[in-house]
Amino acid sequence: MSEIKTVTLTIDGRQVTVPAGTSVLEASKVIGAEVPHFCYHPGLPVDGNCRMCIVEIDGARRPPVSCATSCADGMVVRTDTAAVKAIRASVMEFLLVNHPIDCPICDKAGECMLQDYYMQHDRKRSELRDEKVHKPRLVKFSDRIVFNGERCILCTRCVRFTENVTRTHELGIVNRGDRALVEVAGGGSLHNRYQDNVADICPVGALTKTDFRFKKRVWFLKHTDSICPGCSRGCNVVLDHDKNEVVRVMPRFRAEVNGHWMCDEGRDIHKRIGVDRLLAPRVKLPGREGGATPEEALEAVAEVLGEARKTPDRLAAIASSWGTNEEAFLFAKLFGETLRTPHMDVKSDSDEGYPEDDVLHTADHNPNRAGVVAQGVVPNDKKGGLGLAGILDACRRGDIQCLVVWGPGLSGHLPGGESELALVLSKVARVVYLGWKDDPVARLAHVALPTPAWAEKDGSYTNCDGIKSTSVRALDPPPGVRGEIEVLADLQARLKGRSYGRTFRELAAKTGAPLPPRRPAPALRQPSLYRHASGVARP
Amino acid sequence: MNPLLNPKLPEPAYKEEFTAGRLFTYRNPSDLTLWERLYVPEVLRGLSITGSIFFKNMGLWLVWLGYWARGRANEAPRGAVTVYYPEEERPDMTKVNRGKHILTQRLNGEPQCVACYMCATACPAWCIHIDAGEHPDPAIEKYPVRFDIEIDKCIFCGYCEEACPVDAIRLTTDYHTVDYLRERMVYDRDYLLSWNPTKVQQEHVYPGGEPRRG
Amino acid sequence: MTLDWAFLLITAVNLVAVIGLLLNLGGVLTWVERKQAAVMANRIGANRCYIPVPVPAKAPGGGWKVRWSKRFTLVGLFHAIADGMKMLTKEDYTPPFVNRFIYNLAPFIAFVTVFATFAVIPFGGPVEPARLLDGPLLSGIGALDGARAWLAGFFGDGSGAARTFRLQLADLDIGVLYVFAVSGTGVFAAALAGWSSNNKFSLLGGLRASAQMISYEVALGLSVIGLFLIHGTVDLGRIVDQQQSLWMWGIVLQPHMFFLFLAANIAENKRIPFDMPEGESELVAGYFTEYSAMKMGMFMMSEFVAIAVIAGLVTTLFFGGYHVPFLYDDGFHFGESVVPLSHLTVVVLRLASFTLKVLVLCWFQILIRWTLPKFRYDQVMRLGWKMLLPISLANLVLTAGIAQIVNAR
Repeated sequence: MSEIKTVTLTIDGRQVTVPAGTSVLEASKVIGAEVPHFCYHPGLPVDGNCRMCIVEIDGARRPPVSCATSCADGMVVRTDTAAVKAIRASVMEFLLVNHPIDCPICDKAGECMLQDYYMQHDRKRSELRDEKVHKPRLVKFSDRIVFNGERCILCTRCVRFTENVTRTHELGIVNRGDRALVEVAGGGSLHNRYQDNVADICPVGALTKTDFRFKKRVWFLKHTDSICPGCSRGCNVVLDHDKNEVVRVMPRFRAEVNGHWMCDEGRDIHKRIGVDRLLAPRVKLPGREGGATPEEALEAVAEVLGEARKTPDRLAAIASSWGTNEEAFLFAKLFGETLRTPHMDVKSDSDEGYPEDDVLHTADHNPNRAGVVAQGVVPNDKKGGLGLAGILDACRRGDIQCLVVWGPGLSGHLPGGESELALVLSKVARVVYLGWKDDPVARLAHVALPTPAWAEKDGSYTNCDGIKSTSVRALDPPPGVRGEIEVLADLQARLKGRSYGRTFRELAAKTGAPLPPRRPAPALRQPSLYRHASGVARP
Repeated sequence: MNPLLNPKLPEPAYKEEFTAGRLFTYRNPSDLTLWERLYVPEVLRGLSITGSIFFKNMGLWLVWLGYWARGRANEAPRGAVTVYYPEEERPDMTKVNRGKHILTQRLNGEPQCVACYMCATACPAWCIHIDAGEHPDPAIEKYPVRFDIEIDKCIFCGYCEEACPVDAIRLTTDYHTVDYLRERMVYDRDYLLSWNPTKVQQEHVYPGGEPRRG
Repeated sequence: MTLDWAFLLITAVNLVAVIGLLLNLGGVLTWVERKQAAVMANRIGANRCYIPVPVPAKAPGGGWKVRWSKRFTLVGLFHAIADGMKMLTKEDYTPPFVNRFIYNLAPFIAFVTVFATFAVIPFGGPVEPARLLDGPLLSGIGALDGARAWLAGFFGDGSGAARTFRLQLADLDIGVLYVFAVSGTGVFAAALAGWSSNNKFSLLGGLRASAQMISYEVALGLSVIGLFLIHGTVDLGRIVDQQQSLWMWGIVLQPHMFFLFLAANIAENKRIPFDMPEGESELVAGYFTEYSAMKMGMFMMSEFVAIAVIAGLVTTLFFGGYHVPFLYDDGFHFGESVVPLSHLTVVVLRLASFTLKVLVLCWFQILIRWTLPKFRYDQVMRLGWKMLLPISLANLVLTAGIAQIVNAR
C-alpha cells in the first residue's frame, strides 16, 4: 500500500497538512475558516461558477476560486482579507440583482445560503433601478419538485446531481445571460428516485419539495439523528419534527453508508408512522377477555410464555427485521437462553418499496435483517431448530403450541396471504404478537402488545454492509406504549431470566452500537389549550 | 426642532393625579427628620390627606345628588377618575392603544396575509396559529388556509404587527376582548377578516406579487 | 329561689342587640371598606350588585311589559350580602394534609373570642324600664297606662322601687382584664390555623401572628393602666360612669395613650399596617391560606367584627362610652341651666351616641388601613418592643406619680 501523499500549506497564518489533491476550500474547513460558496458541494464535481469562494493566494495573478484550486506545498492562503470581502460583496450584489426578496414566503428561508451570506457579507440595499427579470415561478418539475425560476442563482448543483449521481441527465440550463433557466430536458419531468435531493442541495429556494412546501417554517423544526428503515442500506437521516410529528426527512452525511443522499421512498416513509397503528393491547385469553392495561397484557404474555416454557420444542419465535440490534439481543436471550426454544428466525416485515438500483437502494426492504441475525436470532441447528418456513409448516401441522410474532408482515410469507394465515394460526394454541402495526396477526393473536415505531425509540441498526448506525428517539410514542427493550426486559425479569439492562445505553455496550452525541433538550414549548374553533358563534 | 432637546411629554389624562410638577427625591437609607421620626404627626398628616380626599368626594357626591334630583345627573362634576365600564368608557383612550387584531384585505377581499409565519414566530405568547396553503394565483403563491389568534393568550405587545412584512395584521384600538366562552376567544381567519376590515392600497401589496416596480 | 324573669328579659334584649349590632356591622363594614377605599382613591368602587326590580317598560310592538331593572343597587350595599352568600355556598374544601380537628376549630376560636370581647362593653346608659313610658309627651297618652303599669310591676323589685339595668351583657368587676384575656385567646386562632394547615406559608403566618399578637398584647395592656390608675377601677361600667364630664374622657386625660392603644389594637387585629401574618405580598394569605368558603369567611368576618369591637373598646375607654357631653340622667346641664329630658330620650340619645362614636372609629380605622403603608416585620417588632412598651411604661410611672400627688392633696 503506497503512502498517501500529503501537502502542507498556510491558511490564514495557520499550517494545514492535507492529502494532495484536496481543494483549498476543503482544506480551510479543517482549520474552521468557513469559505462561503454556492455551487460547490462535496458530493458533486467542482464547477466553480458562483465565484463566491474566492480567496487570496500569494503569487497568484488574481484571486482564484478556492473550490477549484488544489492545495500545493508552501501555498499561503488568506480567506478574510479586505479585498476578498469586497469581492464577495460584489458577487452577492450580482447574485441578488434578479433574486426576488420574497423570503417571507420562501420555504428555504432560515436555511438559505443566500440569506445567510447576505447577512454575513453584503447587508446593503439593492442599487438596481430597473425592474427585476421575471421568469416562470411555479414550474412543476415532477410531482415532487416545484421550481421557481426567479429565485434560482444558476449554481447548477441540481444539474450536476442528475448528471453525476443518478446519471439520468434530466436537468440542464437553457438560454444565456439573465434569461438562463434550469429546465427538464425535452419538456418532460424528473423521473429518478433521488429527485428530492436536488431540493436539499439547492442553496436557495428555487427547488422546493411539494411534500414540505408551506408545511412548516424551518426554524420551528427540531432535528433528531435517525436512520431510514426503508431498505437494508439504512441511510443515516435527520428527522425534522415539530409537535410530535415528523415534517420532513433529510439525509445525514455518512460517507460509508449513504454519502450525502437518500432516496425519495425514505422521505415518505415517516408517513407510515401514523397509519394502521396498534394503539392499545389486546388480550383474548380465557378469563382475560376484553380491554387490558399494558401491565395486564404484559402479565398475560408472561403467563403464556411461562406455560410454553415447559415444552420448549413446541414454542417458536419469529423476530422482526425492523427491530433494533438491542431489541434483537434481548429477544435472542429471552427465547434462546431463558425459554430455550430452538425455533427462532427472522422474517421480512415489509416488501413494498423501490426495486434495487445501483445508487443506494437495496432489494431488502427491511433495515436490520443482518443485525437481528447477528444478535443470535437464528434457528438452533444442534437441537433441530426450524427456520421461518419450517416454523410455519410446523404450525400448519399443529406441532407448535405457542407462537411469538414480533413485527408485522407475517402474511407476506404465506402464498395464501391473510386467509392462509388465519388457517395456520388457528392450529396454534397461543399466539403472541408484538409490534407497532395493526397487522392481521395482531387481530388473530391471543395477546397483542403495541410497540413504538422506529422514530419513537432509540436503537442501532446494522445495514447490508455490516455498518452500524444509531437512531435516536424523535417522537413520543402513543400514550401507554412501551418500547420493546422495556417489554422484553420486563418479560425476562418475570420469567426469572438474566438481566441485561433496560435502556438503550445499557445495551449499546453489548451490541457495539455507536452512541449518539447527547443533544441539548429542545426549548420547552408551553402546552396549549388551543383548538380550532370553527363553528362557534361569534359575539 | 429636535424633540430630544425640547422634551414635550404627552399631557396626562388627569393632571391632578400626578405630582403637579413637583419632583420628589427618594433616598435610601432614608434621611427622616426628628419630626418625621416621631411618626404620629406624619401619620396624622397622611390621614388628613386621604381623609380630605374622602370628604371632598363625599361632598361631590352630595352635589351629584342635587343634580340627580333635578334630573341632570350627567352634568354633575365627577369625583371619580374611573368609569362605570362597560356602560361608560373613557373618552381619552389613546389612538395608538393596542387591542383586538384584524387581518387586512386585498382589493378582492382575500387576506393580505402571505402566511409567512413571521407573526407566529415573533409572538412571545405563542398565540398565533397559521396553516399555509398554495394559492391558485402563482403571483401570490402562499396564503393562510387557517389563521387563528388565541385572544385570551395574547399580551397585546404588537410584535406581530411589527414583524409582518406585508402589513397584513394590525392591532386596532378595540379592547373589548372579554367573553364567557373560551372557545369564542379563538379568533379565526374569517372573524379577523370580517369585522372592520381595512382595504389596503394597491401600493402596499406584497412585494413578491403584482404589481412590482423595481 | 325563683327565676329573675326581668333580668333574663333584659339580658336577652342585650344579647340580641349585641349580636345583631356586631354581625350587621361586620357585614356592612366589608362594604364600607371597599367603598371608602374607592372614595379615598377617586374611584367608583363596588357598585354592581343589584336586586332585580320589576318596572313597566314599553314593549316593542306597543303595549307594556315587565322589565327587570338592574338599577336597584343601593350604591353597592348588596355586595356585602352577595359576599356572604358566596362564602356560604362555595365549595368548602378541606385539604387532605391538614390536621382536621384543629383546622376546623381555629376559625371558631377566632370568631368566638372577638364576639365574647364585646360582652363587657356598656353600650348604653342605665335603664329603668318602669320609667320608660314617662315623660311629657307619652304620659299624656292614656292608652299606654296599661303598659306602664305592667312595666312597673314586672321590673319592680317587689317593694315598689324601680330596678335599674345596664345595657351591658356582663357587668364584670374585672372588666378590661376580661377583654385582654379573651382577646389574648385569639392568638390561638391564628397560631392553630397556621400550624394545622400543614403549609409553609400558613405556618409562617401563624408564627408571625403569635409573635406579633403576644408582643402587642403587652403594650395593649400597659397603655391603658394609666387610665385605670386615674379611674381607680378596671370595671368598664364604672370607668364609663366616671367619664360623665367631658374633662374625664380618656382622650383628654391621656391623649398620647389613645394612639398607642389604637395602634396596639390594630396590630392585635392584624390589619394593615400590621398585616404581617396575612402578608399577601409574601405569604399568599398567611395563616388562612388553606381555608376556603365560610371558614375563610369566618376569619374575614372576625376581622371586621374586631374593627367594631375595637371601636367599642376605644369609645368606652377614651371617648366617654355612651355619654353625650353635658347630658345627665335627667337632661342637659349647661352650668346652672338644665334642659330636662324624659328617661326614654336620654336612653335613646346615649345609645345613638355610642353607635355614632363606634361608627366614626370604624371609619377611622379603615382610613388608617387605606392610608398607611405596611411595616416590615422587623419594624413591627421594633415598634412593639422598643417604642410602644417603653412609652407605656413611662406613661404608667408618670401617671402613677401624678395620681399619687393628686390623691395626697
